[in-house]
Amino acid sequence: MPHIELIEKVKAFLKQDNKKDVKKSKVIKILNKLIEKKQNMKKEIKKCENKKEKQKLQEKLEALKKLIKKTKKLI
Amino acid sequence: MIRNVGVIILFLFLGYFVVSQENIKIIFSGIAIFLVGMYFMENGFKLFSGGVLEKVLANFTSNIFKSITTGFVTTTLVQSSSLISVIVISFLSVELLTLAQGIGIIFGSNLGSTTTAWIVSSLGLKIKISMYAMPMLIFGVILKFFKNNTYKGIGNILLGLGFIFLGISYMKDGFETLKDSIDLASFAMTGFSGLIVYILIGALATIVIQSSGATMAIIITALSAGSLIYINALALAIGANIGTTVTAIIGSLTSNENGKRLAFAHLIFNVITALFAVVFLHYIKDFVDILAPYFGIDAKNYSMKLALFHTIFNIIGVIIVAPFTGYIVILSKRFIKKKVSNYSKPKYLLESNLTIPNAAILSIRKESINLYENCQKAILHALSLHTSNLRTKEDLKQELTKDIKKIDTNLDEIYQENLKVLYSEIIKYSSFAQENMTSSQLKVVGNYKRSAKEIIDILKSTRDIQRNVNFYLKSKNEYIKKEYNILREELATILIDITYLDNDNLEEVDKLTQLEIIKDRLSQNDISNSEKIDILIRENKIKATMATSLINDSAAVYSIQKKLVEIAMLLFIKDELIQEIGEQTDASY
Repeated sequence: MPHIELIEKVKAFLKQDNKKDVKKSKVIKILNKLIEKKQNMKKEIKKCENKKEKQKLQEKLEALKKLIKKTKKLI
Repeated sequence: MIRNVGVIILFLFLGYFVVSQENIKIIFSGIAIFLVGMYFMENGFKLFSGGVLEKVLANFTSNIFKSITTGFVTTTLVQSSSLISVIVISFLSVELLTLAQGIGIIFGSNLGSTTTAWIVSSLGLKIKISMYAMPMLIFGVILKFFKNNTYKGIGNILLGLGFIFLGISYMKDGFETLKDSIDLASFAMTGFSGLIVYILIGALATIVIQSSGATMAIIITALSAGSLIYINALALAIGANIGTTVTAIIGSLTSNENGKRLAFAHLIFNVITALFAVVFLHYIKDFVDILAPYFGIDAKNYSMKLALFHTIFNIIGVIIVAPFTGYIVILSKRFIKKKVSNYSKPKYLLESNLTIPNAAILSIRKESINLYENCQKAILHALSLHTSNLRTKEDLKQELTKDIKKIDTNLDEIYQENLKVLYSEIIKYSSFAQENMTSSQLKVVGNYKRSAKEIIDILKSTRDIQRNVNFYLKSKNEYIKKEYNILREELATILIDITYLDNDNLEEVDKLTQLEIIKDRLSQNDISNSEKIDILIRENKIKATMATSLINDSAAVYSIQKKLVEIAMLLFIKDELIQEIGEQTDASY
């Protein structure tokens, strides 16, 4: 393989790798946010006394759990 | 016809004048080259900034002081107040900036445009500027051949600067040699009449050239060559400020009401500033004489004193007018009212935004949301639900308890006469806007186009179920009536839930969580609906024909709801990564 072609290939590979790293760190940031929200939601559910309100919060908690699973798939 | 003849006569006259008068030819060539330079500079900054300029204008405007400073700094850098005005108008049209923020930027931009006079009077006249022009032109052309937009942008900026310098040099030479043949200074007029005449000439010249910067360059070079007397040059500078307002007004004619309001505010600012400058002309002139030594300006250096005068009277204008920005906003809203437009007419697809990718993307997003809102209204009407008081789920519950009054809604007609036009305009506008976009911007626009297509799809699907909904809601069989009412409620509920997501203050993650809850509810509803239909058939509560209609329509409603979730994801979640998380497959959905 000619040198120039090889250099271009390596450059493209590094660029792609760099992009992946940036994406990964962004995903981790979102994941942390979701986990924090999930924990807050659990606390809110414990505090809540209204049955209807509690059910709504429970729905939200389930949604957050699903989103955490989906986010983990991207890492 | 008369206009065409007028233009031909004007060209012939100008042609004769330019050919017969060597000095005039040089001056006019200088003006033309200067204007070409400004054109290249503008284009260069558009390419080079890659959205940075737009981001700065959108984010550093939280108060009037910041808006003015941002307007000043950006105009000083770009050397074009018209480019800044175009961006501000485009941001106003998509509601990215408030009118008060826009007005602040324009005040600052007016101040920033005074730096042109400083550049011309200090650099342009003191040193042999054409010497620097040639290398700039050479490197500019070389860089222009690069594929990369940043290099191309720098190339255009260099070409722009090169042409501007060359233009100034030509104008300077022209005025210097003209002085030997005609003594323009002999036409000088003093007194009040002279002031008015020269203000008018300054304004007219700026309207014709469409650039106050170019007019200031002409005034300064003519002044330095002795073709003008100082007091007349001051009047011309005031006129140039007024003339630039006319340029802004002409530019705003094609924009929406916010663009017109901005031009109105600009007019108020420049008229008040000009009036102040006329009334206190001699005081400001004396003030300039006092200040000049502190800036190292010689008492006889009238060109730089003119630049100082130009800056001072614009600063005074900002000090006088800026505290009243709130009143100007109220006044402009009172004078220029928002037009109630036919909903087939696009509200946000402004032609001026086409060449600014980020503004064009915002226009397309806003218009797609507009299409969605119109479609949502049509769907709710088709389900015989009044939209005027339908904002929350509580409103919906109340609406459902009322007797059903059929709303005469022909979805076919609405589609053909209104929404199809709007949809076509979005597609057409996107295609033109995509010409100037990067691959990531193309992807975003592609998503908005997809959402617009899905909006139209759900309208068509609703049309298909509308007949059955209206038919069975009047049925004497309470069971089928109840089932169709549930379908109606489910569809209206999701529309209300999605409307809640159209809120820029809501965190993107929270929007995604909300959509996840909706998805969950959808799959639960789908399962329970099919179970219920089975029970109704088994218990012989509905006829087989009713059951088949209900099965088909339940499936159609489920498909509409899934598309609505997708539309909400594309329109209301801007972060691509969060969108990607939302699009991950889930076994339960």
